[in-house]
Amino acid sequence: MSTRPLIAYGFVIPAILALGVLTLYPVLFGLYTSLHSWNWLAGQAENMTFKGLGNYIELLKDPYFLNSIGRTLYFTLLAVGIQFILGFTVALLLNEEIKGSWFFRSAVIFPMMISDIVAALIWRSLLDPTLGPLNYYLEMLHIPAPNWLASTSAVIPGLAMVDTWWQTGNIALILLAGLQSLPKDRFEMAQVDGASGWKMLRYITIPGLKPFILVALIFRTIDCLRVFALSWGITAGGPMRASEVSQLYIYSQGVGRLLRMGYSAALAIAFSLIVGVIAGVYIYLLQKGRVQHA
Amino acid sequence: MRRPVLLSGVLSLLLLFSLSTVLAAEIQGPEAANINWRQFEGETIRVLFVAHPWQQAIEPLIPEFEKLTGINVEVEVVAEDLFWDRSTLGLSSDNPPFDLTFLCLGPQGSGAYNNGWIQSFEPYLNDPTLTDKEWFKLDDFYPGYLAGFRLPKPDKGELYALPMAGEVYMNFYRKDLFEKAGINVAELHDMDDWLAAVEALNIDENGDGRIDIYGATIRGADAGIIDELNAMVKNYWGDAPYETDRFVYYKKDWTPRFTDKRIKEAFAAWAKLMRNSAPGVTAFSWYEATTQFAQGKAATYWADASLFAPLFEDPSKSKIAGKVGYAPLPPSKNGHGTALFSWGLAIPAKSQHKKAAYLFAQWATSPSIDMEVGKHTWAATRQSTWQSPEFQAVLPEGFGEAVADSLSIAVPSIIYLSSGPEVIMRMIDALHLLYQGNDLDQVMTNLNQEVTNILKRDGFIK
Repeated sequence: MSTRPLIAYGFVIPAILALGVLTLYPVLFGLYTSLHSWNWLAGQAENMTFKGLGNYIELLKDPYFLNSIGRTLYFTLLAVGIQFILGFTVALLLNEEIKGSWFFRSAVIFPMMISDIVAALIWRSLLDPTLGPLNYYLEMLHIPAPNWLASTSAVIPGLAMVDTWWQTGNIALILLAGLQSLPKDRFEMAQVDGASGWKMLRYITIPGLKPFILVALIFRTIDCLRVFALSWGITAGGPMRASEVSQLYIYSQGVGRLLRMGYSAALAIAFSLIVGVIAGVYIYLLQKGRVQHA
Repeated sequence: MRRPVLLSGVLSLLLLFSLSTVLAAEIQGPEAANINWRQFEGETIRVLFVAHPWQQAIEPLIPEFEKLTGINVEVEVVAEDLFWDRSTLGLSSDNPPFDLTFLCLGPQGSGAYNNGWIQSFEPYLNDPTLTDKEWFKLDDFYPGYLAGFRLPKPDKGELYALPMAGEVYMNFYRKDLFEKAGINVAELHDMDDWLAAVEALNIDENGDGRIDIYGATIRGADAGIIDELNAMVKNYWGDAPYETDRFVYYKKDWTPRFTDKRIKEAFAAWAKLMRNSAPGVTAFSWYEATTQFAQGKAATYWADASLFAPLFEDPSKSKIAGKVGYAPLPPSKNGHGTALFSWGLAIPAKSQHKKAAYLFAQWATSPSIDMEVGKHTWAATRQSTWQSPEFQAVLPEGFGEAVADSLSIAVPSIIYLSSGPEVIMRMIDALHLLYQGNDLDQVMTNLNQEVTNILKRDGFIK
């Protein structure tokens, strides 16, 4: 019998152990916790009591959790939609070899170098309705200044705007890499055949970019579903819970405020399942595209 | 006519001199304590502080403590937003990453007590090798500040922290704007008078149809609102009795009473003040609310901490220095009251250096250090400090009197209820609904029902 498989396992075992300790254990512990009542404020920190599926039944009837899912999905759809259109446009522009394009590439990437909480704090100051400069300049230009942080209808678009400023470069970079990998001869042949720019975009660029588009959308969608710092740092979930996204709600039920650790763990697992399903749809589409492409 | 004036001047000086001599004799430094400060020489304690005026004032003095005791002090400072989970996780640890921490009067303290995470100070206070009672003078602290750290009952529990940064909730107003508007503060007798004045003080300075200075600023978001809101509620509650460990919101059997007329009136007043504040008030925590006032965007600042006065009087941070008037909350038709709050210093039960940490807590809250730090924070917790002419001399005109008047009607803002923080979130929701103009009776009835559901779920009521 060959010793090669054993040696191969030997190489894999450290990675499995590391993954087990760093990923599997917290997940399993979270799952275990979610089946218990573990309320630290009530003095249960060292005294979990088994609750079965009680926490999961409670979350199905929790209007604030359902609200947080709605707010998160709204934020994600808005932010990813705007970022995709903007990011695609920026990638197309950056793909053109123009003088000083390095500057524009740097400018698009720059906000991504800032951490989410720093971006949140910068924009909290900028969006302040009375002291913030954004509304000051809008008023100078006689443009109606929305009450970004206090209006239940403006707050999610406001957060999506901040996320767009922060992360559009992410989509632009992925799509730019895709654009630069497309074979140039197809465009040349299309030009010879007299195809318009729009037709080349519709029939060559977009189909060729499909895997890149899906990857960019997967990354941004999952990131947006996990949004926390922007809401925590800019609005703390308000006004009227209009920006209380799921991660913020889960955090506030747990270590962030109420210390209901079991319930918070159940919320986290339920929300992970939702994110998992959405990511699964994307991955299915990606795989399907690859099969068709092959 | 000159002689009596001269005579009274000399007599006043003599009286002041003798009074300050007496007080100076009473307030003795740590070296006067009859304990061995060096009994834990060589130990190192780690302290977790919130970024706070008290922390800024005490840090420069820590080398004095190290020199006195031979104990090394390692300080970690975190912003208040980050403090809560850092402190909770640290206290819950078998090997706490700090030996002394800020402790908040209220849910943080009672939660830590419920889990057995914090050390009672009673054995240390009663140990003559650790405490010189004559020198430390525990009774010198304002009783309200101490009560918040007595657990599980504020009137008869053991002490689990020593208060070091106290605040009482009061009003701040712009003297210049009131004068310009022809409103005489002396003629404003109660809440109704003041609320009417606030409405009259929404000022359009340049005539463009937009308000440039709002009648009020007030907190509108964040769980930190609760102590201020409690002050307003107590003001409307008056002197009617209530259970001291759960404020006025619950009966003895934990039945909530948010539909009580007095509590409804207080919520309505708060919402009215929010409506007279700048847009965005529903997102105002203390930072936004104080910034509005300090930047001259509001004529009044309601029911907030006396601790903010130094900020308003600092010309490098405030546009209104020298223009601020101070007053207790105006009485309501039901009576007069407010709330107080204090941070304290607490020791994790599992710390390896509890006694050394206690020496630090004792030193940091001792009479002379309270005086020294209080001159910077105006948040001293000892009566001797507030009564001292030396301390009064650093305060702006009217502030000391307003604090004294407020303290005379203040009660600790305590709710020892593990579901309390969740209830607070519902209370903020109710304020926001009232701010938007929803019906008071309906909002408060719904709030009462939601709180009842929470308390039933958590087993407080059947």
